[in-house]
Amino acid sequence: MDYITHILIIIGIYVILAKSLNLIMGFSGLISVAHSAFYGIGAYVSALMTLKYESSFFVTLLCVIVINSLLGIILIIPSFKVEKQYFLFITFAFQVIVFNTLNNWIELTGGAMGISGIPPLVLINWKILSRYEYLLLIGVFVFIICLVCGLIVKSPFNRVLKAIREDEVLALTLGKNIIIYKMTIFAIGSSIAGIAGILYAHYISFIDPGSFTVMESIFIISIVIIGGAGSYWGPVLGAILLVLFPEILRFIGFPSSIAANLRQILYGVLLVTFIMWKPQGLIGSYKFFLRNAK
Amino acid sequence: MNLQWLQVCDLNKHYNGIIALEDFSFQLKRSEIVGLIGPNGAGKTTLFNVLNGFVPADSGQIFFNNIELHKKSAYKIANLGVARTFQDLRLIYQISVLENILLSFRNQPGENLVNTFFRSGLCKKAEAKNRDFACVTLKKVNLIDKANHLTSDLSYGQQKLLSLICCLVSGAELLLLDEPVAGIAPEMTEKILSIIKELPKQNKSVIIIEHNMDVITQVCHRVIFMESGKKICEGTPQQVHSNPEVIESYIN
Repeated sequence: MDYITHILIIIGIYVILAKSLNLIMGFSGLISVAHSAFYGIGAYVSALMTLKYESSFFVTLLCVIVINSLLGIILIIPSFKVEKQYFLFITFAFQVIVFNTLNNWIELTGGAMGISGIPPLVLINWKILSRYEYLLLIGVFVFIICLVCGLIVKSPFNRVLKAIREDEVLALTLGKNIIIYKMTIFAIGSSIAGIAGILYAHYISFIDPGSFTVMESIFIISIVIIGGAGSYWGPVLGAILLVLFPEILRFIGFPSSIAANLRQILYGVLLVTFIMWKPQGLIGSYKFFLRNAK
Repeated sequence: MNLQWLQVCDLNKHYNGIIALEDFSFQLKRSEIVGLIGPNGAGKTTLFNVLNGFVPADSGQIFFNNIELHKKSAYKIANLGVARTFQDLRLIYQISVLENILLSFRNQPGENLVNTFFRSGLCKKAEAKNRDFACVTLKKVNLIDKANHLTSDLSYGQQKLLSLICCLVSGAELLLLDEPVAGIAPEMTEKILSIIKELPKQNKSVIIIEHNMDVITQVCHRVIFMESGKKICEGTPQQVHSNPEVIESYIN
């Protein structure tokens, strides 16, 4: 049972990550490979604040939201100067900077050794110790985040984002201040990724930079694209399938050394297959890589 | 200085030494339809791009409703009430026809996320009102059965009609229409022209770029002929039509 609970918790975390990346990618059409950087910042900020200052959950949550929003807004600024494709490189640079900082600022982050002994989360008087409690907590967060995303999806705000992802020139002509829209959605997406980081750090109780590499970002992108970018349930479905996928490989009986490599290859093949033949994903409608398909 | 409703003074625009606009001045009154004609590369579309803020002019001034437009960003100019269509037809193709229209309303409370989360009643009310207005407009032009279709499913003529409708619902007072009826079937042309002819009655002004002189004669009160970024002549469609320079240019 512990195993299933663990898998469900991991799925929950990836649902949060995919949902938040979907806000950025599916709604505004900007591809970001920096998502695991924001995830990592959330995890590290929370771990350090809890270990060094024993700060409460809500204080860390607020800090992570503020830090990630600001970084998200800074990261989006170059996108007003460059084409969408090149914005990808800027997010890549950001990802590399964050990874290297985590990896090399040894006094603060412990470097490649990571941080261990992260205490469990305490919500006011509720100390979350067992896996079931964690599952409950993550369930609550998934629910709230789905609710928030649902509100955004249905709002006229999202309609403007759809316009921006397809034709920025037209959006400007219609009187939409695209800078504000992109900044808002990036701040929200990054903050939610940070929340996933907090939940992950305290659940696993050990974090190292290896969990927040560009590979992780690409994994989250795969979830969004295979599930269906821009759709409401797409990222949820994608997260469930892609988290379960390696577990199935394990049950088929591949030795773990082969399974790990096979996993990477299969993710790559899946991603390319979907981009070429099913760009709208399993249950999406927005054809992500086809521009202005008339 | 007694400013007209739209006053354009001595606009200059060069692209790497190529003249796109040279000392271009003109005025526009409320409820007036002005045609802009001239050969390809005369600077007609550049004039639109300068007016709606996509391209900054090298020099010159533009006053709209006593507000200086020069150096204002495109989205601000749009919010002051200047709408435009594009020669190559821009719409958001991966959303529905209705959504394209809803997108065109200005100052929607729901486009601000703070309102979405904390004043949902206000947003819903505004959205319902816009939706009703959009449906009424779609009914008028017989597109209501396509309301929930993807915009990319519309025919070319219907798309041109839709982009005009989008300008209308935005409540803009000045419409810049770049070849609104080029390349579409005669019935649709009739429909679009009849809508344009009605605009002065709603206190709206139009500048229209068009190559077809019949269209110009039908809808325009006044015509400006331009060539190489300069205004060559201006007057009623008949006057411009009989101007020797215009005749020569069109024959060549």
